[in-house]
Amino acid sequence: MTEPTPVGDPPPSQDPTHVGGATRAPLAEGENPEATPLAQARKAYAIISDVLSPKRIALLLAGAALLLSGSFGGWDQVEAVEKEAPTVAVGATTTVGPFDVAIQRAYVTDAMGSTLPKSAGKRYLIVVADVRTTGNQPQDAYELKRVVALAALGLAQNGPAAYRLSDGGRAGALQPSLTYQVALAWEQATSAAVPAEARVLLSSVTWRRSSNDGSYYWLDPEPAGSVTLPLRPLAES
Amino acid sequence: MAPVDHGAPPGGDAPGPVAHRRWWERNRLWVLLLVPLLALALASSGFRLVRIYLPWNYSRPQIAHASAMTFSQDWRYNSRLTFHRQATIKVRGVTVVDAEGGRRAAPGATLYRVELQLDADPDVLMTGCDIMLLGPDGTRYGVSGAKVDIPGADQPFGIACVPAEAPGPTVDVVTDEVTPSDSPRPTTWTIVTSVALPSAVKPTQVRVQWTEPDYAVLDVPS
Amino acid sequence: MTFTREGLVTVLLVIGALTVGSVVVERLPKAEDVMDQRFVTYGTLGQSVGLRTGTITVTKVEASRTVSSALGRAVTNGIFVILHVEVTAIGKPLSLDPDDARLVALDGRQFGGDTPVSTACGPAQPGVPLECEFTLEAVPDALAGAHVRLPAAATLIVGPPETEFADIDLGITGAGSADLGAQTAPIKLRGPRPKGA
Repeated sequence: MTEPTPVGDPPPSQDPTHVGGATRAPLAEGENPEATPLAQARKAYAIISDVLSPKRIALLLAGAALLLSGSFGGWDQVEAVEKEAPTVAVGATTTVGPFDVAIQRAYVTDAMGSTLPKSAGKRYLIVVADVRTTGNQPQDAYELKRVVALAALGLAQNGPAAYRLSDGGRAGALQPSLTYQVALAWEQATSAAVPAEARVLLSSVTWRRSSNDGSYYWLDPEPAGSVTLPLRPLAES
Repeated sequence: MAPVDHGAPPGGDAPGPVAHRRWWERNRLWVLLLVPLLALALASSGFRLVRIYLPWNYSRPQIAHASAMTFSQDWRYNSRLTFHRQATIKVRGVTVVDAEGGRRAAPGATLYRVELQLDADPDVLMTGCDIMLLGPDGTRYGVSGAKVDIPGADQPFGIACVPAEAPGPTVDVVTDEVTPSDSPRPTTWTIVTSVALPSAVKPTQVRVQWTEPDYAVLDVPS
Repeated sequence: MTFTREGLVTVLLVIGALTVGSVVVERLPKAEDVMDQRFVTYGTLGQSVGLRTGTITVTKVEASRTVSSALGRAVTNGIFVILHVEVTAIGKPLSLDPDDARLVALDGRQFGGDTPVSTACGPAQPGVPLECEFTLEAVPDALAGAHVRLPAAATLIVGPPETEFADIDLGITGAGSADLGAQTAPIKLRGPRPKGA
């Protein structure tokens, strides 16, 4: 049977006693004609050579090397997003994109005046922070939801509401050159336990054009810091 | 031996003297079609105007040149429900008053009371209309501007354009379904509203509109 | 692959045409530039500025650290700038949104947006002036030489952003800004009302 000719290989020998066409010394008594490793390799390769040409074998090896490199740390850059954020001290300022944020205090309470009304099955976790807009234009406090998160169970899906400490009103646009004392209030279901301490996770975002609609948004959150501070009950004054 | 003619294609077989055939002669049919095809291309590039802008603005007036008319339009709700709205609108009067609905005209303005009579089948959706007065130059005057509250006076509240107790069918915004009213709407009813115009301007027309793009324009009775 | 002279010429022609095309496209105005083009009419304090929707006049500038309206009270660490604005609509009723206004300082900083305790401004009936207050939260050192940018109409929820503006120089000097910045007497906003009402 004539095998198809692989590219680059010498044409198969027509001699039925020789595999691969190499010329060998006459066999000694009892020696297996296929015992030599080279001959075995040649025979094995000849079987698969129509599917796996040298070019394809090289490609497969390169792909395998790429995948294997992951087990030796080669993929660490991509997996970096999963790593822990650096610890930030209470009161230290972190730049998170639209704002410079310094976490100051944390409270837990059932109600706070008329701003946070008492509601069955719900309590409030409050984080007070100094917030200052980076850049030259007013930035809506709504963006704080994107950059400040609280590690706790049972929090309402829609994120924290932001209030101004200066007058208790809702925080809207935060102006440049002004540092605001902002209270971020999360609703927590009373079925969840009050955390022993408040762990605030800060993410930084980038102002860039979205590939969805070409408009600019604050996107690509990356862990920027984590602040741990004691959770105090809010004294009704 | 035929003379060699350099203008003719090789093997040309036109009988008689072979003239030079220009490209527009060779492609007569397509040259003729060029103008209508260009017109079609221009028209199709205007599809945004016709299909998006015009249907979503008040761009189709039904002008009565009289104080009464029958207004009719086909309209859709949320692109699923289609309706036909037909009503006879009569301007009963546009008169100067001191106060209407707990409000009076601001300094420099005059308050006009507008009374309309509407006739429509009880199952036609007629809720949610806007009423405006038009000045001689076409300026539109709305019902909210140039008015001040009269302290202590009641301000009526109701769905515009329909009787308060029997508004007729409405669309439930949550379920997207037509909900009939508790009692059937009468086939004819009166609406009263008021518009404050600058004192130097006399209203000449009344504009009534529900859903884009159709609206009705009637004359103020003299 | 065989190289013929025609093939080579074709390749060069295609590359040449693409290059010329990309240079031409680069020089032509882009759609975004045309769409973002702004139409600004300049004016000063007390001067009527004519826009397509009507005329706007900033009649007075006040300031305070505390501002109140029917909806509540606001206190700032900076300064609230209250602009008294007179609006006369043309053609049809006009509503303005004070949250759209921006105070622009000499160094380019902008102030405004969703300010606590803002009041509405509209609808203004054509031919009947409407008086409104526009409240913006700023800092005292941004007031000297500041001007305010007012859009010609309130931005609708659906639709393109407004491109026509009135740009009004408030005429605040250094001394004037120190004066305004030191104001603490609370200001009560009246909300929109027809002139003279």
